[in-house]
Amino acid sequence: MRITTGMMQDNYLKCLSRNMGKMVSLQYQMATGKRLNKMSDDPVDAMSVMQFRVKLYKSERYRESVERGLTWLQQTESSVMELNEIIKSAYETVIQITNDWLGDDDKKAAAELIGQLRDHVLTIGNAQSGTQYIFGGYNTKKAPFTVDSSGKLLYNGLDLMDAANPALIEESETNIEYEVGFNLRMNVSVNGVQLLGMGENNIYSVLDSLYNALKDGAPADELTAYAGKLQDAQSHVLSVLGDIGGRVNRLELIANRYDEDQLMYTDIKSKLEDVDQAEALMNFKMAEYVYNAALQVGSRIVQPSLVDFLK
Amino acid sequence: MSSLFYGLEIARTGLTVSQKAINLSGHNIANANTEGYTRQRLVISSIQPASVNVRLSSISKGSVGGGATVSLVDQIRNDYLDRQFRNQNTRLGYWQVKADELEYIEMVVNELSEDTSISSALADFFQSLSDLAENDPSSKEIRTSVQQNALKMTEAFNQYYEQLVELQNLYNDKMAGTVARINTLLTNIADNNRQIFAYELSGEKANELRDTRNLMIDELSRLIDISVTESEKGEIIIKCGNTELVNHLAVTALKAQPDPDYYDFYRIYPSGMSEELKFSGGELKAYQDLRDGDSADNMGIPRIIENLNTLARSIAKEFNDIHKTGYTMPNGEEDSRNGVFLFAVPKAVDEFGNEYEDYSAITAGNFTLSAEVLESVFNIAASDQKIDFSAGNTQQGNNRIALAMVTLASRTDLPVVGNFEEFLKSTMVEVGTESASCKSKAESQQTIVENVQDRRQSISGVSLDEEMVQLISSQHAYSAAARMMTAVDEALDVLINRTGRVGL
Repeated sequence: MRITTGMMQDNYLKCLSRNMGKMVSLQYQMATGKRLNKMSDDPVDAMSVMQFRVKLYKSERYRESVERGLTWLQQTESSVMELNEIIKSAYETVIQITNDWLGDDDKKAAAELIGQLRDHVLTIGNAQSGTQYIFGGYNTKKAPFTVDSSGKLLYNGLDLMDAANPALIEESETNIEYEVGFNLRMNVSVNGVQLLGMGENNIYSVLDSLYNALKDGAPADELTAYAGKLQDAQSHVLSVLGDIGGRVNRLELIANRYDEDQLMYTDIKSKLEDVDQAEALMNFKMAEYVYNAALQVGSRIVQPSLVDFLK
Repeated sequence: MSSLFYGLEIARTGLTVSQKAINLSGHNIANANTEGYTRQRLVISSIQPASVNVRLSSISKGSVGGGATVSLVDQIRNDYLDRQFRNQNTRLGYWQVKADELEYIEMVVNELSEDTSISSALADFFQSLSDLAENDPSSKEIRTSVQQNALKMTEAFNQYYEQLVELQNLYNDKMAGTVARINTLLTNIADNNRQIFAYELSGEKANELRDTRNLMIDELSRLIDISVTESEKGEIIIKCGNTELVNHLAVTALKAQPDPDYYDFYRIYPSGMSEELKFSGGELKAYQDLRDGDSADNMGIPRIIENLNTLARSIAKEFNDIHKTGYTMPNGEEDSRNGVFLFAVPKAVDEFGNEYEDYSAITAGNFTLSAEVLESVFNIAASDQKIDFSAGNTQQGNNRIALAMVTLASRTDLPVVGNFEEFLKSTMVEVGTESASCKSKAESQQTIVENVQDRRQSISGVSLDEEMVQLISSQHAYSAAARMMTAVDEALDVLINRTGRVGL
């Protein structure tokens, strides 16, 4: 094939330009540290990178939800443990009092104690996490437990003793849920009805009637009945504690899994997206070498022609 | 018998031809780097002896020819390669423009970037919804952050839309600009045709003018797909599809007319005709495809915009459907109420005169929050029960609606889009893969064009070495012819001055 000067020059320039282009793109990769700067650099990998990014977002978000759920549950747990202590004190007082040789004055003193415990139950019921009440179900901004003028305990405005009230039943089933995973909702609260019990045997009424009985100097056999009720109350509270503990465990397991997932996703995403600096540098050096070689060789073909050799 | 003066004639023709050859080599060398220059060669033919055309041959045998003469200065060019070059050049024009512009479009809607993309705005929006559901649904600060993040997301849509529409208008303008360039080239080619035709009437070849014309036709082939034919009379006909653009001296210019039914975008007509020009390649087609492409296998701006519109509509509908069943927070004089939309939906009137919400009128450009939510963050509904500050249970902690909105992020069964993030991703991947494929097509097309250009150069290009050799042989021929002239001159001298001087 006939080779002309024009062809040689064009080819030389084209090769130089191509080599330079390779060097420029490698340099850009090294400067940004990323192998993929726009989708067309590698559409398949870019798609995976976007997928993992979304997975990371979701994982972080769920992790935060789990954290919040754990905080709420831990507040709940410590309040319920406090309630447990109250019931234990009340129980011990009753046991002491049922020894007959204690007279009316002692009973009055015990009544005062029980009265204090009863009021403290109210305080526990109105416990807060930050600015929100934790035992009110969806009633988080107003104290859920109130005592009306006749001394009745109201939960969210409803009489706690009225077990047949459908509104109260609905309240007893209302709990705050958080979304802690894909299609996974966790109940993170204990509502007031679950805490104190519904109907006549709720803890507050038991303590209240015990208070009244002691004030009125009730006989020992009447008082023993209360011991039984207090024991029931305690086993109820312990089961609530157990339930909370179970939920806390589950959330912690989920949190661990998210932590591991995040490490894994970040790792894979980085492998796809980031440039291995050592490899990139090596490729760049190679491209530079090729470029220099092209320059040298090219300069030797382009210059001489027959003109130099004719006289 | 032929006279000595005949010999002088022969020598003279030798000198003339060598001189012309030297001049021609000089011309070729001078034009070695001229773009589009085709090397020229003398077509030298030997002159027949005079006796050939005389009927009665009374002259003795052994008549010698009359020397050499230049019958033509010809250029060495392969028309087939020209045709190949122009076809490939058209394709190159198309793919190069598409590759360059799609790369730019990619940067405009760059979802790989973590700051300015819709997907990160969407993620932030879901995060703040999650905060609303789980931190405190009645908190003003959290509600404000939900409102702000939602606004950021709708603004990301708006921005993409604006930039894409801007690009669409740019391509429209570029189409008009390309049409203007095409028209200029057509006029110049016709002009050139006139000059070449006039020059070649004398039998000579108008080499330089032809080179100019070929250059212009090459440039034209990049802009639009053409076919070139040369009739026996030497007239050039340039056609695009079935429409004649240039027929010898007659030019059919192209007109870009705005179409009022299509946003006043240009449609291309050959002047004087009412049917649109059907062109199928070159830069003009690339700009048109980018401006008008609206399907997965004809990727252009309208396709991207439509995808964004679909996503915006879906987000608006899904969120609104949940939100309107929820209750807002009491806000000054306004009680807690339901039926409030989160995203704005334009209203339309149906054939019975009833007003209804027209979700299909939402575009990525007008996508925004509803007036109620923009006015007050308390109009965001998180609760599925009415909020009443005076009730026993105020329901301020009720987060069921907020939770349902958070769950929208994980649902994969949404109508039309499936899952918001998946749909967004597949939209962007479409653009990315198209851009990558256009880039590689453009690169391979570039290689093909370079290859054809090489072959053209190989045939038509000037090689300095060759010209030098030619120069030297012409030089020697000149000296030899001059020598011959001296020889004849001396013979004549002997004849004239020294013959018949016997005895003087």
